[in-house]
Amino acid sequence: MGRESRRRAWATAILLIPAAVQLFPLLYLVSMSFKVGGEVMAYPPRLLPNSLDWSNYAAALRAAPLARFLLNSAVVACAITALQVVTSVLAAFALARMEFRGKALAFALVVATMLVPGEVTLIPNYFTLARLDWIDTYAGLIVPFSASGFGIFLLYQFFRSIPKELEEAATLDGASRLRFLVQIAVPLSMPAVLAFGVYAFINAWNMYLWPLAVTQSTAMQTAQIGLGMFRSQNESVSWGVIMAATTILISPTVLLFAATQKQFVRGITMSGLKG
Amino acid sequence: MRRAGALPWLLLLPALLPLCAFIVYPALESLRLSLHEVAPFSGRAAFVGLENYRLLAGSPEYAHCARVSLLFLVYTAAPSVLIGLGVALALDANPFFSGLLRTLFVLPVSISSAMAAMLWIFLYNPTAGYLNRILELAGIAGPNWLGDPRWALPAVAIATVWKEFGFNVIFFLAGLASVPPELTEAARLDGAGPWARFRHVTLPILSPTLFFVTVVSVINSFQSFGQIHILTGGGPAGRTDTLVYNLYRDAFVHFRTGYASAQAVVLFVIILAATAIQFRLAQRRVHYG
Repeated sequence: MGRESRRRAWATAILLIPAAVQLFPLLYLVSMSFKVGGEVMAYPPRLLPNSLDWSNYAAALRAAPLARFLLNSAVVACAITALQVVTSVLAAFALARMEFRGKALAFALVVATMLVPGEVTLIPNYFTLARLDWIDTYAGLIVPFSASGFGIFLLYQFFRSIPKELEEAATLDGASRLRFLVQIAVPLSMPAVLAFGVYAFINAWNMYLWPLAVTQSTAMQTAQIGLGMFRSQNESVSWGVIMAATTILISPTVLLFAATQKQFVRGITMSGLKG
Repeated sequence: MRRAGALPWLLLLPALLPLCAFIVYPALESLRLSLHEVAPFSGRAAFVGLENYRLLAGSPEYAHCARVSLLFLVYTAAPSVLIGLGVALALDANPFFSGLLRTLFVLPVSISSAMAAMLWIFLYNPTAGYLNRILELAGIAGPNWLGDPRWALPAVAIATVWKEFGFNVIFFLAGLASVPPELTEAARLDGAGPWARFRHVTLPILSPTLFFVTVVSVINSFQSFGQIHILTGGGPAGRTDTLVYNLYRDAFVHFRTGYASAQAVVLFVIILAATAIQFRLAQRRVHYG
């Protein structure tokens, strides 16, 4: 065996155990979701279900308004992603490609917002929402997250790296600043825009503390909160049903990420955020 | 670049408006509230000066939460940085099925801490969970993970590391992509072994990434909430009662707004200090190429 293939074999061998540890809980979750009746709590526990019985999935959809939770999460995550991408692109472009008075201040403000943990803003934001009468509404779940300091910073790095000559050539052609942004800067930065979009979506989908604080009715709960409520309110419900519900609720982000992780990693690599 | 009039501010406004309204203003407002005692339902606030901070400083319960958070930091940040680095190095060595393996390691990143907790809560079940079954097959009697005061915090930490180290893998892979292969190859020809090559070639180039990943891991550890809320609710016997969890309870269960705001400010200062300390330590060790 050559040196290269020996190295590859070693690397593969080293990764086998961590890979198994990483995969096992997910496979076990899916396996559990097919276990019915006494199978769930059987001792000793078995790895595989007796049969591919889909009744837990049907029961989960009946017992909890899962479809509603999923809809809420989808509406909230899509809206936040769209808003964050648009506001970040515009702001990053202004900071990276334009000269204006107060730019340093605006930039410092953006960076400072990245340092404030969510717990610090939680209580006053709750009061703000109460004053706006936005508790338990989509607006309350979406609007506070319509901009992202991280997104602006990430895209700023990209826009800054676009050669000046390109912009000069474009303006000589009579393209306005905004046309340059839409037709040249954004397409050139697509890996970063997409990476940030995926990041924003996953973060929004997975929000926990904020929706826990500002939703009250089942009709407004997101998947994250709904599942926890579902479990604590139905002590008698089978674990198989809960695992089926969990499988349904994690599928959207897992599938999205599985499909896009290659571009995501490339976007991070090219962003210079690596250090 | 030519001056652009009002256009840059028009472009900035859609971002700056929500950032100011929902991050800058509430951060300052937290500071103000922390100096007040706020009535639970009317919301009427009475100025009490530093009273809330005095209460915090004298509270044995809060000191306990700080110890739990620190322990949790050691249990989660260190393993997720080290495992993340190890896995990224192995992935970078071009293993067989590298695409599949990479997907596998980064996948849990997309799962929320609440969902990950749901899945681990059952793995940890002392009789029906499979974790203790595996230990039993190895001849070890597994503990009652989430119910045993000694094991609850490590158990929450394991679930956290499982979910989070893939995030670090992504950044380490990005960092490793910038290590020129000619450099390690030259070191190898000079007779440097694998460890020497890692220590003297890869690590210096990777140090900015290592620094970034460590800072983010420390911040994340201090902010962990969803998994604790679902797995243990701060118990048993307060063994998983972290600073954030305590803050949440004081704010939204006990409605002690002023006291909780003081905790938020203290938490911010702790995170800021931890970040600043890491920056200081890094100054001498991180090489920016």
